[in-house]
Amino acid sequence: MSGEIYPDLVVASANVLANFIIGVGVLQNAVYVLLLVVAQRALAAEPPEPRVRTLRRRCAASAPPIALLAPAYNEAPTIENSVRSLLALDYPDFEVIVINDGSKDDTLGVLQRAFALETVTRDFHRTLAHRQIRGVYRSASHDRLVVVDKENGGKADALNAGLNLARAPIVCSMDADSILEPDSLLRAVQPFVEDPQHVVATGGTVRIANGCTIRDGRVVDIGLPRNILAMLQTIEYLRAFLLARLAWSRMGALTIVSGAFGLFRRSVLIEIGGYAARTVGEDMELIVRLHRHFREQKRPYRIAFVPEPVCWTEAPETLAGLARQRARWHRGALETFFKHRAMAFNPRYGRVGIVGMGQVFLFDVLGPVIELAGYVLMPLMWMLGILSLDYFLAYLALTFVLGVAISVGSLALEEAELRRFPKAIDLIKLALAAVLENFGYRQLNSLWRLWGLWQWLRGVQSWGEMSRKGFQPAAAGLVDA
Amino acid sequence: MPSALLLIWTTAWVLVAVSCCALGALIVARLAREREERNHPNRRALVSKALLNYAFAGGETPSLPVARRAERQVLIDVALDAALILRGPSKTRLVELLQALGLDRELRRRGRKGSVRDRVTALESLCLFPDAQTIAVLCAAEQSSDLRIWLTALRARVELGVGPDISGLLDLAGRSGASRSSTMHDLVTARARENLHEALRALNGDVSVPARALLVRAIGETGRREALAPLKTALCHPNPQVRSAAAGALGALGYAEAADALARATCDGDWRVRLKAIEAIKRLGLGFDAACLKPLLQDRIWWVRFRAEEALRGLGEEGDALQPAASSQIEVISRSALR
Repeated sequence: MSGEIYPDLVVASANVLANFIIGVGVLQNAVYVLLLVVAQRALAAEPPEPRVRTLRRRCAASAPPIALLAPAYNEAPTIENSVRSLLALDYPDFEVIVINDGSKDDTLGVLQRAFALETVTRDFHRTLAHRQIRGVYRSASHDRLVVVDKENGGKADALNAGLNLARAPIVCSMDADSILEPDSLLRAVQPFVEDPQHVVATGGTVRIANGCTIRDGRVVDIGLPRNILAMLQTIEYLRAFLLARLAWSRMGALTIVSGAFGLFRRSVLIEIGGYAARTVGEDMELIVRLHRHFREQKRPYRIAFVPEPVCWTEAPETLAGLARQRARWHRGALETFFKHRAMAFNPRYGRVGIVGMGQVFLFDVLGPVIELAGYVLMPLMWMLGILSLDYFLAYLALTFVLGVAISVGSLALEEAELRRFPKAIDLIKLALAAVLENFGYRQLNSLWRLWGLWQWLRGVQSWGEMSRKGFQPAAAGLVDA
Repeated sequence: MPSALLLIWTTAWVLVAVSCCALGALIVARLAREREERNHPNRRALVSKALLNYAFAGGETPSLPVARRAERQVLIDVALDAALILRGPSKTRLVELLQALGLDRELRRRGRKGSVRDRVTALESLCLFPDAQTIAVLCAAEQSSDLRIWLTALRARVELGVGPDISGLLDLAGRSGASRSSTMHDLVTARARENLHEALRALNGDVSVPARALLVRAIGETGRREALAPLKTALCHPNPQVRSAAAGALGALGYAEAADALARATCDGDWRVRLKAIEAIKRLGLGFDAACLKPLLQDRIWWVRFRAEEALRGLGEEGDALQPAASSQIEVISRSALR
């Protein structure tokens, strides 16, 4: 750095700032490399069982009943197919509870016509607070289906109603518009079967369905999205689930089970008061609260991540939609972190406090601010002659290359153990996406997260408008034969 | 400091090279697999047809490819599926064929070494080849520190009829995490059903607390009247883990004579015992004085209150009579009936 033009203090401050930004970046990348190693070891030691028949044989006798809780809000175009695919899941004992969360469209009417719903009486304890239930229906044609019609209160409120009504010991929270693979429950329930006394929650992998062929609410042919944003999210999801969540769970520091697909012991959720209604990151908040509850009570417990059960979801394909989603996710992470800030770096909470909340601090609280500060300040400092161009370029190259290497690493994990993408060309496309995401997408992501930070500081609570194309026959890229 | 700069650039280039090589290897491997699948699109169907034809009709031994690992894997997958549905001479012929193809040796090798998934699958499959070598592999696998591996090996040995007796199983249940495993529970329950007297003798012996709780639960599953008195005695054990297991077991056993003991257990100092006693009362249903549940509606543990109210509703008119009072006493739990 040059000290010829500027006072020493300015140069020293710039030095400190530059070193801090670089230090945080290096730490983030180092954590990712560690995650890659842990995830690789975990998958190599316990690769998923490829044969569903073997799984079925192993857990047929000991599979606990599961209640699938599917909150639906304005899902009229897709709800029938979604529910049919849920009813066709391969699991010995389950019940589907669809919670119509005060939809303004004809979601309830579609369900009534498609499944011959009849009004029933169902006794339940209103142990968790939620908005008024207007009616409970059971299908005359499908024994396993229960539909709850309630006033609108949001996803967490709907899930709480479902938790009250459920009778199975294990509940599966999901989005009504997600698609579960037929064997997903069999796979996700394994930790509950293996360690019934300690496992309180398990999560599975969420994948992008854009570009896949969907028929009758089932993914029948896996393909990559044609939309570039969805493609970039595909590699992002691979990194987040196959690498990060698997590794954090192996380290006992998993702080989130996706709201799109997670299994929970019902009694435990009721014990901790169910989902927090006034948050946009109810999935993360729930998991952190579970950790906190069990750590404070000094009770043994386990929250597991199983990489193989797959839930397919539709990714936003427009910048505006993606921006809203990312800002909301970030707001949720910040809400959770600051709500449970007492846990952060607190040895009383063990690994979750130090490692789990530490990574939330590093990646979610500091991450976007530092990254954007880096993008803005580093070139600025170089232009002002404070920062050496050689170092700046070298650091930039290393950061980008590390990002690509980590994405290629998660792709290698996927290919070595799961092999979901059917063609070799898919791997090449995904690798190109891993390179491409460094030029614009990552920076945009940081901006969106910063927007989320701004919303959080202003106390914005809304979910924002969510537009989905739906798994429709007419939807481009989502071919329904 | 050119050396630091050099280090950064070198690291970056090394990462580029490693990423490219890894990606190249993935793509080449994938292309090879795609080519293999194109060349042998129906391998699984052909193997399945050949195996089943031979198993049902006998005749000349089919020539099946087993030289490569992928080929052997297909054969193993298909053979194991077939073995599940075949019985009698057909199954015997299939097993002989698999032995002739050397698959028993392959499975023994996989049972000794490999990933947890491969070892567990291989150990499960070895039940098809009940000989001394298989037993040796299973015994060796039981020394594994991985719970899934040694429990699978143990279950396979029990299925082959050479497993330990109930005392041996209870000793093993003392190993880390084993007493919580559903596999161990199934094994002990099966042994208790086979020989209840041996199980009851073990109950009087020197057994660790987790193993004793496991044994108590297993005895309850037998449904035999002889188990009633020992389980009532276990309900007075000093350890709450055993007492709660005994309360649950009395519910599973299903005899109304347990009523008095269970009613007393609802006053136990440990909430887990009270909870299990309530659940057992609910399970047994008739023959109870519902009033014994009424104080539990004000228990300090929420979960106990919840279960008590639930049990009251299941006890017929007597419980119903207490219900309005119960509902008014509980602020947190409100009964909602929707029409």
